[in-house]
Amino acid sequence: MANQINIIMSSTENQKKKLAVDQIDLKKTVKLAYLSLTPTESEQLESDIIKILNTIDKLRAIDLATVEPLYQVNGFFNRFREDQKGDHLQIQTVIENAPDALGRFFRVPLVVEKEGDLEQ
Amino acid sequence: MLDDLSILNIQSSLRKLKEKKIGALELTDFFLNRAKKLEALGAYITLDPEQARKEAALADHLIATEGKDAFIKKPLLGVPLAIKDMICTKDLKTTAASLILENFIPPYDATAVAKLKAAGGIILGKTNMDEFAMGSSNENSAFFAACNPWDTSRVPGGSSGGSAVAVAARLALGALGTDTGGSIRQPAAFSGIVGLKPTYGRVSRYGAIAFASSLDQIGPMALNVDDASLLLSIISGEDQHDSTSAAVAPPKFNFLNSENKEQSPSSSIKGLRIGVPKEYMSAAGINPEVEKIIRAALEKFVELGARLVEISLPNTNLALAAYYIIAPAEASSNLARYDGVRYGRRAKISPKDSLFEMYAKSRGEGFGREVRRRIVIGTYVLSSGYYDAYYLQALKARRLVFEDFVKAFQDCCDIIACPTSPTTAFKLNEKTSDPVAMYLNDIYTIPVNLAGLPAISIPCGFDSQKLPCGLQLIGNAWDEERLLKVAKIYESNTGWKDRLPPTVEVLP
Repeated sequence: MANQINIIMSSTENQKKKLAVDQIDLKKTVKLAYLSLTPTESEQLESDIIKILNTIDKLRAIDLATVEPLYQVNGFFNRFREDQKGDHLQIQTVIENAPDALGRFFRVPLVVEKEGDLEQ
Repeated sequence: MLDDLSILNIQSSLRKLKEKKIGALELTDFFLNRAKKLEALGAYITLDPEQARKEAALADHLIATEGKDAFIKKPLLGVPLAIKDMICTKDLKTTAASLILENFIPPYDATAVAKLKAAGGIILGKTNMDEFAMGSSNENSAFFAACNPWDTSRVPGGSSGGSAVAVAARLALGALGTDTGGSIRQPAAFSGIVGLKPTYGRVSRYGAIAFASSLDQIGPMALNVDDASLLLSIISGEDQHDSTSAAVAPPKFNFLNSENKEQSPSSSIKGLRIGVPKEYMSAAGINPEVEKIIRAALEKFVELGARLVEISLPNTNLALAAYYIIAPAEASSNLARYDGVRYGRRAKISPKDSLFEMYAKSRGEGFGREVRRRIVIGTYVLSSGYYDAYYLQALKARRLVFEDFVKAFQDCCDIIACPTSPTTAFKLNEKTSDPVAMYLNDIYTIPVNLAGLPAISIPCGFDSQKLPCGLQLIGNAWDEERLLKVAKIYESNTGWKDRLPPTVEVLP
């Protein structure tokens, strides 16, 4: 199974960015996304991603150097208020949705592993 | 009244409830029965008959003791509604149509839901949708597809497909949807109903499961403009739980009061400048029949006294690409919370599995194909080395799309009119194999979310296959009042909303 997808892109004369060939390391990206996939799912994903990247890649060829990015239309500003005492969710109610719990704690697999055994 | 579906809507039901010609429980049972009988349409993921009937009985009690006064504090008293399964409802399962939230029971109500409840609305259940609102056909639901009540071999649109079906098939009097790139308007168009995406910040997103937070808005789906306006007036407003909800006074809808004399159409619409984007009407992919229907609708506006102005939104061609970078980027971040720890699905793991493996397996099996695609795209465009080239570039393109609209409203027009979707409802399975073909269905709705503007889809005709077609009206930011007024005038001068889908004229 190929994990490297090569995407051929049309280069434009006025762009010096490396547009001719770009690469997505699918295996790495899937890992960053914390997704575990079966081989079939990975293959499906690969062909889907090529189609989608082909669609969105045209943006890269456009010169937008002087344009300010727009993150959110209403602008960013801090909204402060005085602290107020209020209600909170009951621990038991919250814990009820947990897939694994012990008393009032969420239970997870061992987090701290033996030396030399760590996830890179 | 319950034997004539064509006159059954929120306003007419409220009148009958006030006059005690019908009871809230009777009305609730009517819809619960219909929902069960028409289960095959796939509108609801979860029905909540027990709680709905309990609330309806309380409403009846309140009406019996307080009479019409009960409706002053509770303007939706006894009105049965449906809520998209993307919006949290206290003690009522909320899945986002995903296996990862299959058994999630929210411990709180979304603000919009809390407001509907406080206004006396009865929540019948939770409606079907594309998983995490990612899709335009409702076929990405992890549980089952929904079908179009006008032709059950076709999709109802998406992602708020179930809400659209529930309203169109009269399985609820109104519904809430969410709209990130067209998810209220496109299914409203496909299903022949009214759907409104409010200005970004008009309605609190608290309790709406986050997909792309800078684009998401909750909005009403209803049988007519009056009903949609009423629902909007109730759910809108600043909320301390959502810092992006704006301190703008909720829209006033005095003109809706049916006892008031309706302003004559000519006085409200005379001289109104309706912008028609040239890039939209000539776009490749627009179905000729849809184009013809939209042009006829535009002519109707001229007949009513409005003026058509050709406008240009020159950066329209960047919108789709920008959206399919920004929305997945925000989604990949928002959906990082599904880790199999605090809530949601956890995969079966072996004692040897690490915490990372638990996360990855739970997410791998919990998310469906489209959601995985978008998470991976989003992760990629945000990853080191690609952030500037994709994500930042998309945000810059977003500004250009935004400024196109600002300029149009400043210089040329009061309102923009265009198709909601380039086609009418397509066949089930027609586009499932090609994600990009599915994305192209949103070309008219996506720019509106990028610009944060309010827009409404209203029925404006039928194609040769008797499928409904939607007209999209786009307003300037915070100008819902004018938007709804204009929509109402068009609606009351055409009869499109009165047609019933053929498959739903069964009685319980």
